[in-house]
Amino acid sequence: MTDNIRHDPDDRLDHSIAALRNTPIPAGPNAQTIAATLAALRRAASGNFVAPDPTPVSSLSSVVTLFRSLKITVYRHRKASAISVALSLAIVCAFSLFGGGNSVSLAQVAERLRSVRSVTSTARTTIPGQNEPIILKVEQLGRRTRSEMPGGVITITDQDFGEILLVNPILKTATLTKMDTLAKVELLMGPQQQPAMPFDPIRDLRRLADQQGKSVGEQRIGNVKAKGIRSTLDGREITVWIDPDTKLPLRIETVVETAGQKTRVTLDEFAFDVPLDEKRFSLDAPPGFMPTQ
Amino acid sequence: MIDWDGIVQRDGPGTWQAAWRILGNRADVDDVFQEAFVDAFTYSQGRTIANWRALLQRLATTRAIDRLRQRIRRRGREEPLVDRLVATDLAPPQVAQEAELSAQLRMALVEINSKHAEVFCLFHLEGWTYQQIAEHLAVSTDVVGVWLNRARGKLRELMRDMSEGSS
Repeated sequence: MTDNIRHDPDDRLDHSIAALRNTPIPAGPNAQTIAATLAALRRAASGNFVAPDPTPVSSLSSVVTLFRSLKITVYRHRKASAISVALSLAIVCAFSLFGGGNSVSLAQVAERLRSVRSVTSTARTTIPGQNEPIILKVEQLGRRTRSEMPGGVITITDQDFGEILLVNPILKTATLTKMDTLAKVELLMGPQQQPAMPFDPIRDLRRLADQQGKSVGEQRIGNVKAKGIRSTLDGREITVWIDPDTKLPLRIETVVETAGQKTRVTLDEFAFDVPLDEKRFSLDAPPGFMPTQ
Repeated sequence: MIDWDGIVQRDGPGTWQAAWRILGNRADVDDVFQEAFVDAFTYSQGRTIANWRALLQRLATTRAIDRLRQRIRRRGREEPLVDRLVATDLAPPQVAQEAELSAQLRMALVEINSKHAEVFCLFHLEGWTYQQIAEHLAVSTDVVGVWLNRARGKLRELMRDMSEGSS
């Protein structure tokens, strides 16, 4: 048997092979992916392997630039929509701030989250100059995330489809945007190392396994005396409060920078593996809403 | 002691690109990249690996086909991966045509036998020889040839059906 395969340029299969082979390819993994892979290998070598976990992808700088790119200045309703998207992404990024190092407690959290399929939580974001925090209800089912602002602006991200749907009940519009389009916008907006990536809180929380944390004592959250672990990443401080019995997070606090302003984000009221209706994550425009792109 | 830092730096780009050719989506490729390295770690226990690059490319290919299968089964189809900013009126028609062909090939790949798909990708996308594939799959070159021909035959058939279905 030889390696001879007759190639026919008119053959649809050969044409498609050539098309796939000739597709421009990025140079390789980014620094975050490499770091996460090395961390996974270290965990595997130490016997503390959590899972062949996906890489950390979303970056805070992505959100900052995206926020800028959305230009939340023109109309109030548009502003609400832009804020919804930016905050949704910022909140999800808050989950993704964990990476690198080793901590037994955080590794336990990651282990507990390994089999989690769905999460709901409440996010409170306090923007400088505003008295009241903006409260978002966040739901995640697998690789889909839905967040809802007061007033009903809804953002749905679907990593499998690579798309974001923004439903604006005031304008009665449902705007579908490709994530890679947002990434390109981001690249055009400033010196970024990597394009924006899909967002996945569950996956990102699993990366707690790599976090080198410092104990910050205890705090009562509901009926639980939660243990706090604080760390910094790229100069940002993150605190996660953990239920010592369930090893699940009760609260996450961080500060994200959006459009040059420092916004405090707190996520709590977590519920894990709650039944969520698949229809809530549909990328189709709801009845009565005008689909736009 | 295995120098994983060195292996990731040296063979990481080739591994990542192997997954990219099949998936064309950074999020999926990043996942597959890490999975392939962890697979390689597991595989290397108690073994001496002569060619890390080849091992990693093969593992990434296998993982990428699995990921592609999951993706397409959930979505029902594969979207042509044309850059939206490029795929405007300025884009030449052939860019869209090639993206459509690539998408059809991806959809067809997940419909054929996994081993045949792996051989197909290693040969056509990674440029491996029959001999190299045979060594890594622990089969004869004759078997590689048979699998490759079966893959090509089935893919051609599937793509013809897709083409007729869309016309």
